Amino acid sequence: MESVVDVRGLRKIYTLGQEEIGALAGVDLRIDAGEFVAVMGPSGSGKSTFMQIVGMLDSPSGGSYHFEGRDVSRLTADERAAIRSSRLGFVFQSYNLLARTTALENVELPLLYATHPVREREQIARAQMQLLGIEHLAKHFSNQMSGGQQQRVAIARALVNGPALILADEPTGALDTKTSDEVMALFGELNRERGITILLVTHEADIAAYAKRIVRFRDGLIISDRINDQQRAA
Amino acid sequence: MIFDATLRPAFTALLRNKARSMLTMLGIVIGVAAVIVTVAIGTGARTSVQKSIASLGSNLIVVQPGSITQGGARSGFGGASTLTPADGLAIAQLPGVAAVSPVVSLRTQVVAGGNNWQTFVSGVAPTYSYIRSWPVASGRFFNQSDVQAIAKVAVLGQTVVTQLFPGQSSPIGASVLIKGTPFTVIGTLSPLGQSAMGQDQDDVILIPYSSAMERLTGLKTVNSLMVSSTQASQIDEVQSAITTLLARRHRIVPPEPNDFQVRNLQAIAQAAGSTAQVMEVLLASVAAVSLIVGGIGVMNIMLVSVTERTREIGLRMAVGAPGRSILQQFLTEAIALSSVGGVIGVVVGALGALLVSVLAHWPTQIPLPWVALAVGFAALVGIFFGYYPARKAAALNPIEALRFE
Ligand SMILES: Nc1ncnc2c1ncn2[C@@H]1O[C@H](COP(=O)(O)OP(=O)(O)OP(=O)(O)O)[C@@H](O)[C@H]1O
Ligand SMILES: [Mg+2]
Repeated sequence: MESVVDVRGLRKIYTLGQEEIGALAGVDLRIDAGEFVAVMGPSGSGKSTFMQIVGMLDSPSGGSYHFEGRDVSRLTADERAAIRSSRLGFVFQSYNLLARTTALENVELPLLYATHPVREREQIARAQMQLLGIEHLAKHFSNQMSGGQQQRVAIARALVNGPALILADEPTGALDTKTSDEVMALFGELNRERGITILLVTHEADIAAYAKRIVRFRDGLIISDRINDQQRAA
Repeated sequence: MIFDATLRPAFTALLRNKARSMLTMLGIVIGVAAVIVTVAIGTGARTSVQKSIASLGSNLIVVQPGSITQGGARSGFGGASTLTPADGLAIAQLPGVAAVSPVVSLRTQVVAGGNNWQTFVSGVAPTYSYIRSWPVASGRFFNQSDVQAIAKVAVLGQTVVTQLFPGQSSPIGASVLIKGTPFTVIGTLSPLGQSAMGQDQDDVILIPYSSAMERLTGLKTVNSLMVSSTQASQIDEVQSAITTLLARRHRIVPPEPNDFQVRNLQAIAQAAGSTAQVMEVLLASVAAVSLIVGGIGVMNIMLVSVTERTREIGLRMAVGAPGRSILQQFLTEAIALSSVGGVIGVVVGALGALLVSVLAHWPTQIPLPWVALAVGFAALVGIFFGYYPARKAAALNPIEALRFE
């Protein structure tokens, strides 16, 4: 198996004035292509910090990080931006759709920064929305959609560049149980049928149950890492 | 690519806050319009001065009597009346001189039929028409034999024609009383219009200088001599030749000052023109300062815009926008604001210049290089004042930007 994410002794220290906060205290984790990993753990255990570093939005204070075999610490800012554009997809708890912008334009957004001919862009975005069954939302503005609909649009946006890895930090945190289940079923399907690697943070065991593998954090360290043999499908 | 990642978001953002964009642009609009109006008025004035100089003839030299000193008290220029037609004839013999005309002028009441009119009567030579490039509109100009015969003939300017002969098809053959002496109208002059100083140049009657001296002033001297040189480039040599000649003819012994002065219209015009240009550049720079003030307005609004859209910037970075692309997006927005403002400013300035020429009757002219300069400068102001906010946007930390409320 080829590794997508490979971190060794990953550490992160935040400095707030005089105070130093250790958010990650030496994390070792390897995620292979095609995996579906759920990260769990109490509040403040470093889950989001870990996701940000894996997503190349932040850099670690120590340790190493290889993405698809490339040493991330040796990449320039532009190279990291290019990887975010073509290999990574983010899904946030708060959706983060652009205000006063249609769903279709939101889905098109990542294509602006990749090399896609103008005319193809709308087609690609529409095709992606169709795959997720949300093509009827194309002309809706963010404030004209429900939370579940917005999160689907955000997932379509994360998928539109055909990424290797989806990073989702509490994607169901703002959704009700039924909608959460629908969104998680979608992630499961993307993982099974399209082989997309998924790394997801959640507080809820019900949500983590959709993953193939569950990693637990505490105080910036991994305290357990196990295969989920009762994976939920729907 | 470039269009979609920079131009489109920039214009979308500007159109989204129409009122705000308009007000920000206003500073630039006013600055550019002020530059354009100032330059239009300055250039227009300069061109019209040059035009009227050209209408006088760029080769023109004027000889006027100088001051005389009597018992320590000096009279002003023209106090001495020493110039004679014979001086003119002597000057005409100098190399480089094309033509000379004495000028005898007086202001008087003239009468024709039932109408009377206060006007300038100038006694000149037949060459005057050539020297001033001022042809007749109808009839003929007087000739050398008219001068020799001290003929009572007159050529009328168009203003005099309309004042003395209203509604008549042609005044030629009619008689005009000048200081009680009847003169026969033999021609009318083509219209010249206003001089640069706003004087009506068509309010004049031309008669032979001999007739003016004998019949009207009774003097042996003339008011001035108008000389035209064959080439504008030789004007300085001709000028000094005239000075030497007249000093000799008037028997001036060196420490004594000349009782005449020789002036060259081109030099006078150039001096006036360069003073006007200095003023114009000065005023335009003041206007340009207001452009910079407009630029500060652009910077202010761009900083607000960056803060407002912090989350958007964070998201764009998360989906793969490189810092450069964010920088370009905001810089484009600032440049768009200021250069659209610049273009509107040119239009407003052009309308303002038009208004000035229609209402105040000042000649205006908008030179194209200045239009390009003003718009270019406005765009430059946008780049200069837009860079800092754009730089700030590009340097945002994506995580903090995404978390920004
Ligand atoms: N920008 C920051 N500056 C300073 N400290 C920070 C910053 N971000 C996170 N921390 C600290 O790092 C630790 C880990 O935070 P992190 O957000 O990774 O936790 P988490 O596991 O995602 O928690 P939650 O489940 O509440 O989202 C916490 O103690 C937090 O206070
Ligand atoms: Mg978190």
